Amino acid sequence: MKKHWWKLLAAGLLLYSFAAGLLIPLGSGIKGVAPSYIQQAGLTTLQLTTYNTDYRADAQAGNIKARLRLNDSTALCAKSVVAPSGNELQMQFDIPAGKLPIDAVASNNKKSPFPLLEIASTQNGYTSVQSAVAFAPMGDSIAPTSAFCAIEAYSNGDRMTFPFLNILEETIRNLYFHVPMWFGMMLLLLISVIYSIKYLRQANTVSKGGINAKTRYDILASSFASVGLLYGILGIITGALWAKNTWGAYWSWDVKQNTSAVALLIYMAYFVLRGSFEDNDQKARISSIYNIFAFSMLIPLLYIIPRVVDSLHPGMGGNPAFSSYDLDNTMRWVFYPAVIAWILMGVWISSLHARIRVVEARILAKMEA
Amino acid sequence: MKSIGFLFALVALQCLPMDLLAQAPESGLMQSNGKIYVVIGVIGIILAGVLLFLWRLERKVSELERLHNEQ
Repeated sequence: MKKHWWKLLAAGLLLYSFAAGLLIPLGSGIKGVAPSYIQQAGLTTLQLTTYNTDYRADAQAGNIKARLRLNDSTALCAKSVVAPSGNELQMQFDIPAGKLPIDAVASNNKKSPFPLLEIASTQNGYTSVQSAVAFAPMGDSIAPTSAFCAIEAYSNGDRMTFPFLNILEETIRNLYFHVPMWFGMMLLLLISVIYSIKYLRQANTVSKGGINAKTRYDILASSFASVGLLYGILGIITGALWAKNTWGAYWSWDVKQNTSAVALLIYMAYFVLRGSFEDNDQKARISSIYNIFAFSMLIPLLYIIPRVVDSLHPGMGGNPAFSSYDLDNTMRWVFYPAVIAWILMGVWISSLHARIRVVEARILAKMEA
Repeated sequence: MKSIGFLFALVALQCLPMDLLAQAPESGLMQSNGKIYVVIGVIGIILAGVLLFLWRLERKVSELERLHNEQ
């Protein structure tokens, strides 16, 4: 049992990631704001559709705060908030006449989130939506400071939730299923190329129990590559399904989609190459060398090109894949265990695959002898 | 032979009118309930893929048993 502990760990982490990934609720979210364009100064009512909320009790007790953040230090606070139903809010703002101090560019040169509509309530926690409304130009004079309210801290309470992001909605949970496929693929292919290098470095020793160490390394390399390729194919199919329902098409010719498809084709060619040799030694030697080239192609394809070119995927423009915005702390506690679980599952399946083929090779060697 | 069949299937898939596969935005099962069915679909694809792989592995074991019995 001692050497099998990691399989129990894999099963436990897998169960945990499924349970936590599916059961932890999404935070409250804002799906729509109407009107999206405010043309006149004066009292304006914003109609909000929200997700995963029940604001009625909060609204009756007067426990909802809402504001339109114009920049880091200025906001317009809602005068009144009513909840016609659990998933609807009506809030009244007093829009001042004159120029509003909206920050067009955020401090880190990214797209500005302002005007940022923020809501905090006792039972439903904190939620916000970026660029919630647009304002028509209302005169050249600066709006009076008396129209604005002080920025106070809005808290999410002690709720444990995954963030609600528009368009993504519940599919944010795919992070625990789609992304570990790619992490797992990378690690399995790394193990595969290590065995290929070991194959090439290993001296041709006398065979032990029918096959020698070199043959064993070659079998291990191709077994890990096949499960790695399986993970990659599952990653690309699940990605396509996710993309269809968020980006609008199964395949948007996004740079990361394209480069990962090329990477998969390179590894499919590895198996085509292996299948095309009659002689086992020749097959093992040439496919080991090909495997090293294939793995070194993965780095630019999956880690360099997608970060240089604009992509729909997070992590474009030079940043590592996850910024603090893309992955919050609650998500980390589910995501990393999921990655470890799927890696361990992959190692397990690969080693089963390899052991079966080693036995097969031994039996065949015995039959020939 | 198998791969030729696969190629034919791919070509046939291209010939399907795309409207059949396309889905109107903001409606349908996938878009309902906060798109949770997309997550179910993703989990289903992964489980199906892993099970298919294990099935193929089992066929290898059967082949192995056959070889062993012949010996």
